[in-house]
Amino acid sequence: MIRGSGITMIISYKLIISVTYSLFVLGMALAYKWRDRYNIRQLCIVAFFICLLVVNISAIQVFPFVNLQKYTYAVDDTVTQYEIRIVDERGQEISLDPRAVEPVRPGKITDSFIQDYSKEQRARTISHLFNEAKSYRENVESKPVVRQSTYQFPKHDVGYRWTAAELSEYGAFERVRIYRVEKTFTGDNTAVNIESEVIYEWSPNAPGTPPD
Amino acid sequence: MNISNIFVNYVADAQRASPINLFAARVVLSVYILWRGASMEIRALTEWPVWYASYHSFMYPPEGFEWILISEKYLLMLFALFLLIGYRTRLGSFVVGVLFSHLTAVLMLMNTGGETEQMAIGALLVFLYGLYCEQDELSIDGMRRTGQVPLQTLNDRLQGPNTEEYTMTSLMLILLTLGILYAASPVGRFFNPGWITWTSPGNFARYLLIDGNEFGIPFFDVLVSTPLLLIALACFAMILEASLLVTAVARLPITPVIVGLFGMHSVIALTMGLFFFDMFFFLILFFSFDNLHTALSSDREIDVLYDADCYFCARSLYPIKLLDTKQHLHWYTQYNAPREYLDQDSVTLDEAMYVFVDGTPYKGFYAFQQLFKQFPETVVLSMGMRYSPVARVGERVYGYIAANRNRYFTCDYSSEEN
Repeated sequence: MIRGSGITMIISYKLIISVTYSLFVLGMALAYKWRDRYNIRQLCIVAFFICLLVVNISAIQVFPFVNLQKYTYAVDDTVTQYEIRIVDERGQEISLDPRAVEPVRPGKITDSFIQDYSKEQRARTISHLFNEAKSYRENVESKPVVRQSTYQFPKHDVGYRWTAAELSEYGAFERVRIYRVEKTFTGDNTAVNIESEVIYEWSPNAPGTPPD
Repeated sequence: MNISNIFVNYVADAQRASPINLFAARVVLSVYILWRGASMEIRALTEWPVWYASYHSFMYPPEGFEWILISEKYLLMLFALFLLIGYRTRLGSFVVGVLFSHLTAVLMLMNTGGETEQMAIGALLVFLYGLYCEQDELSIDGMRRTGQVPLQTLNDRLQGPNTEEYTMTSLMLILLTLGILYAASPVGRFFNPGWITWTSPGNFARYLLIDGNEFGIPFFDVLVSTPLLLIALACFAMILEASLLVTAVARLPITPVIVGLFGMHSVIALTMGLFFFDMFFFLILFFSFDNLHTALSSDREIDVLYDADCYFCARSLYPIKLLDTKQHLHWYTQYNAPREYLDQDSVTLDEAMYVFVDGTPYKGFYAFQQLFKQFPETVVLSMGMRYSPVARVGERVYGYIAANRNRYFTCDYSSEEN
């Protein structure tokens, strides 16, 4: 029942986006072409702002109209996050550099991974992630004069970044682990208690352990 | 320069005394698109095995046609270059808008969130810019349009004072768009979780604490443990977000709001991560580049002497006139120039145009070098033109164009009319 209504919602949402995007491009084409006729340019602008207002008040994304409703939630006492770590042959763990899995955000992988994926999708995703991480590592260890990410548009998920020196302390990558990290705010929200546990482990030679 | 006018409220006044702000906005948007476009990793995009936003699946090309995305990327770069120089701006804006929005939509299959949302905003702004690109005079298109202006009118404009007003409708629309986008956050928080809950010190501290003090900001511990400071910051953020639209529509100065938004994004970048980098490009669109241009332009007084019967010459010099916001260039022709200029044996207007700086004549290529030295945008070009290899080539190119201008361009206006 829930699954059925979910699919219906996705189909209609998809339809709404495809129609909106097509009409948007068509409307812009008309406004560009006949900018001085029939007030088309002004009509197009009015329609543009109506759509933008609706999307931003309702907080529903209907591409190409997006909303910037950011941080519009209250943070619970306990926050659950997921962390991807790569394990080398000696059992040492290293957190995933987000640049290794461009253009995907690690947070997006794990959120969807836990909630929506089938066993087969999980295996395919982590297998691909593992290969991407290995290839990215080779790139970092080759110490290029200028790393590709240096001149690229800054990633929004910056912060932790692999270096050749850090990677030299690790052996060959062997497996991927996903941790569930529970952060509980304590002491009148001035401190965070962090607990983590492995919920999934994958290696090219061993089947994955599904999350709880 | 009045500090309150550092950023321009185009809703209050969409007219400026110079077209420089539109030119600068076009350059900023083009550079943003070029950088963003060049950084798109299409290979990784096509190889990722799972989609996260399947409702965008219709945007993805059919299997076996992934090369379309790569072609789109390179077409995007090409048309963004057109946009940068202002050549075929309308077509360029439309193509860039369509390609960039489409590639963004495809990227959203794998990367939903603030980054791709801001890219979608970038596409919308390009579309809005292109809607009124005919107002952009400082462009190749602007130069091409002077071909529809009679020579006499061009001469009058060159020799008269800069009294024209340049309307910037697209920047007004962009300001309203960003105002609505920023105001969405306080509106959303009103419904959920409510302003009081959201601005409570505990909630705001948790936003900061979730990822910890990743960048080692000093006084972080003091910040998260001072309730009054947290409440003040939360309220300040909400007021800032709502203020862009309110001040724009109320026709008030937007400078404090834009400076505040820059500050807010910088603080977020330092404490939580670089989440709003694209917005820096969008907010800078309202900077009064024209005032900065005037402040940085040279104070030298220059007399420009050109052939009043040469249509090509007048058209070529028109962009220089548009840049002369200080009105330090004084324009003369063979009909009204001071005798001491025309009586000089070395001055032959049939061959080249001249400028006189403190009485010293500069001819042709070197005249342009002196003109370029006058403005901050072209001063580097002027420095490059001083080097002898560049100067030797430049002299020859100028000489060739000047000698053949009747062959390649409309120069003798009277004969063209006949």
